[in-house]
Amino acid sequence: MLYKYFKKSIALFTFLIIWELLPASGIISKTFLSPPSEVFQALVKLIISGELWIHTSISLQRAFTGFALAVITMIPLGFLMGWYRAFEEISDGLIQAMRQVSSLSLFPVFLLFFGIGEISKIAVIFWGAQWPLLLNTINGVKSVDLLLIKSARSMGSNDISIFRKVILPSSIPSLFIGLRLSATHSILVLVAAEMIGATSGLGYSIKNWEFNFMIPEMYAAIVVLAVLGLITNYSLVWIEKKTVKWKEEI
Amino acid sequence: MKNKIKILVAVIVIAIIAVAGCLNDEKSSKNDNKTKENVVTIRYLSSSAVVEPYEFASELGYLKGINISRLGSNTGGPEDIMSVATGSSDVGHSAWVSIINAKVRGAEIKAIAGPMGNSPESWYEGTPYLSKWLVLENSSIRSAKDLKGKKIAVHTLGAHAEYVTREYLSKNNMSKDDVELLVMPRHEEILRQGLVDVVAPVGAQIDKMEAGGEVRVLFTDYDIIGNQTHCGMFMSEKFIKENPEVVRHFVEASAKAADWAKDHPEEAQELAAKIMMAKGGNPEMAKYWKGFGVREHALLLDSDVQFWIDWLVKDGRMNEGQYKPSDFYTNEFNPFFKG
Amino acid sequence: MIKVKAEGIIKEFPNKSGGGKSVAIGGIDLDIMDREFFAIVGPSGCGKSTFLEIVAGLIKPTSGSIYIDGARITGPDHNRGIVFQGYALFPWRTVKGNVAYGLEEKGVPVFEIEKICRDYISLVGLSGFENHYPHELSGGMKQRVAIARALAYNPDILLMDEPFAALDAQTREILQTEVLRIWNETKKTVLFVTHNIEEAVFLADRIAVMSGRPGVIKKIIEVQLSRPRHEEQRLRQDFMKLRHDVGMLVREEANVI
Repeated sequence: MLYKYFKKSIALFTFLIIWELLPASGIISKTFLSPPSEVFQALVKLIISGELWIHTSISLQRAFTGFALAVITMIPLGFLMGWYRAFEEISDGLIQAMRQVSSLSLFPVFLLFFGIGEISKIAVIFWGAQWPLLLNTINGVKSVDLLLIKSARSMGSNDISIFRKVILPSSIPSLFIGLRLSATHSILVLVAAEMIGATSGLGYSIKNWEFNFMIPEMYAAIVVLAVLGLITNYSLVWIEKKTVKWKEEI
Repeated sequence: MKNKIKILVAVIVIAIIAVAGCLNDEKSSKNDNKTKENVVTIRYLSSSAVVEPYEFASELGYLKGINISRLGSNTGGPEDIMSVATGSSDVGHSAWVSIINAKVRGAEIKAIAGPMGNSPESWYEGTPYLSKWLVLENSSIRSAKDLKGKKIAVHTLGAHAEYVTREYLSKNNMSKDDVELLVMPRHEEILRQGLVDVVAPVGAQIDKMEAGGEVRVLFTDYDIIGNQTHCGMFMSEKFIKENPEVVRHFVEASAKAADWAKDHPEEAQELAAKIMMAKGGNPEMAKYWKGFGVREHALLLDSDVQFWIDWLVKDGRMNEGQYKPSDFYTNEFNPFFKG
Repeated sequence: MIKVKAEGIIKEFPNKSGGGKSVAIGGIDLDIMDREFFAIVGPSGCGKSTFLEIVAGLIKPTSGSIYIDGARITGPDHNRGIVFQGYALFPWRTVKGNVAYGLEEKGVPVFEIEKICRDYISLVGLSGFENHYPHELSGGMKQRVAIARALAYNPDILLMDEPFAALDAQTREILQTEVLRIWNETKKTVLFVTHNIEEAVFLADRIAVMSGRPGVIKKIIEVQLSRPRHEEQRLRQDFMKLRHDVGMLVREEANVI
């Protein structure tokens, strides 16, 4: 059991060792690449001072809100688009075009519509989080085994019944893929989202500390961000395992 | 299992060696700035919207045995500092706050001359400035006390603009907590759309906004810091130590170029336009360039740096008495320096 | 008594490329008797699966009608159950959940569903596997579940579309015997489509040989072998002759396609 964890962490430990050695050996400047030991010290300081909690909580709030909005809007939309071909044909062109536009290039538009408050930051997160959800939901619907639909129809199911009893359960694995991608994206895009007039947050802190040469603190924030992303990802994996008991392990 | 571990370790060791090897190659080539004909190349980053004294020096033929080579633009002082400190480039400039911050945290750089400042003697038109704090013409803000609770947008926090703002507030018995200080780009847009109350743009942005009308100047940084060389031109301590003669000649040429610009405004502006265009910039912007603003011979003074040290100490970012200005700059490579 | 009557069934499909239509079924008239085990054989692509789905009500014919007990069908209904080659089990439902599906759609009360499922799961020999998920079952077991599911809501007619084609030879033979046992116990009318001639001869009362492009019934052959059918019959003269004759007919048709 312990051995299993050891195996999983061996790559991580190796990475940490290399990271610690690189600045110490002078190969890379210590000023700009803080070794893990310094980063850890900075992290502890930030935790004790309470600063870390302030930045983390507000970032999580923003990420979660953006993500939740994406979930509420994109899953139903994805089902609609996957199920009704006509609807998809109408909207597909627009969606493909909008997908190409990154949150960064939309800054002025977000500013215009949402000002510099929380809403514009949540909008940036929402913008990025929606695509994996939408596309994976559509994909989930479209990749339903037609044979299953035939079978259901032969047993007297009408369209609504087929949607509820066949399409929905069949799409859940794809949905989870979308959820995971979307949720981790929400965390990672905080750096971009908090570029618009923020005064706190992990993403904001990373930029701010970089500019002020508080490099160990900057790496500490980067690490926290990465860890949050990991936690999010593995939480969703765990939830999926609990909900989807019928999938075969490949 | 044992085999797998062996392979993993072997891969890691090889990776470390390879990485170290590559980096070593870069380092050795960095040291080799001299070419066969004994011409030294000095690399730098510079945006197309500014001009450097050494760019003038190069055009005017003051640089003998030195080639300057532009590697590209940078996104600001800190990036420039990092580039010089790690040896990717050889000279750069930045506002004092960033130089002090970087030095204190281990970046081994030192300023050797002044690249730009607020000296009236070398400023072509009106009072010098780096930054102006602008409000809309019809804004109710007319003095410091009107700023209570208002939003002020600067380009970066913890840098030149923030501390100048706080000095202004402090002179008027207010503090940072009385206002909302934000980091935002696109100052013209956000001011005119009413998203913020005050913006602190820099350089040609100011000219553009004033030309567009309906804005009013609340104060400028000259009002606060006066005649000060607010940026430092720096090189890495390593480069300085290994090439003192080169540095001396480089500084001399830059100082001479700055003096020439002071005495020949029209030609200087033409030259500025030429340089900006060669960097891929808009030559139109050159007409907004009002000179280097450095004092004679681009010399630096303790007072240039002390203001910022005091603020960083006040802000708890540094310990009192731990550093003095001469830790961050030196005039010893400037042949015009008598001291 | 005629259980299923196919009258003038024609099915055309528009061509995907080029334009125009291709005729999948060129005109089938067929009577299937009550409680009969009726097989349809033919080369691949002759339209036998299409015909089965028309009888199921999943596809509408271009012209012609299907009558069951004299009434024209308009779509799928609970008087027919269908078993597919690909099992078509819902992976997210247990064995019991799958078998219950048709009953749910039929509106059978919940407390009854439980009992009925157990009975049919037992009928197909899978007692004890009620709470297993399809991915935990072998191919043969999955097909048994599919049969139980198709029969659970008590249709008169069981339609089977090459149900054993995906199974290995041993499992296939076992399931052939099983199907006969279940047919005997439940007394359904079975319409069985296959390309395996030996299978058709072993199982059926009558075999229709279909030709393709357009699909029509070339000949209907009576299988005069005694019931109940035994494994040993496969090696007997009369079995092998029948197999040979049907095989010849099918091969003729295959060369035409």
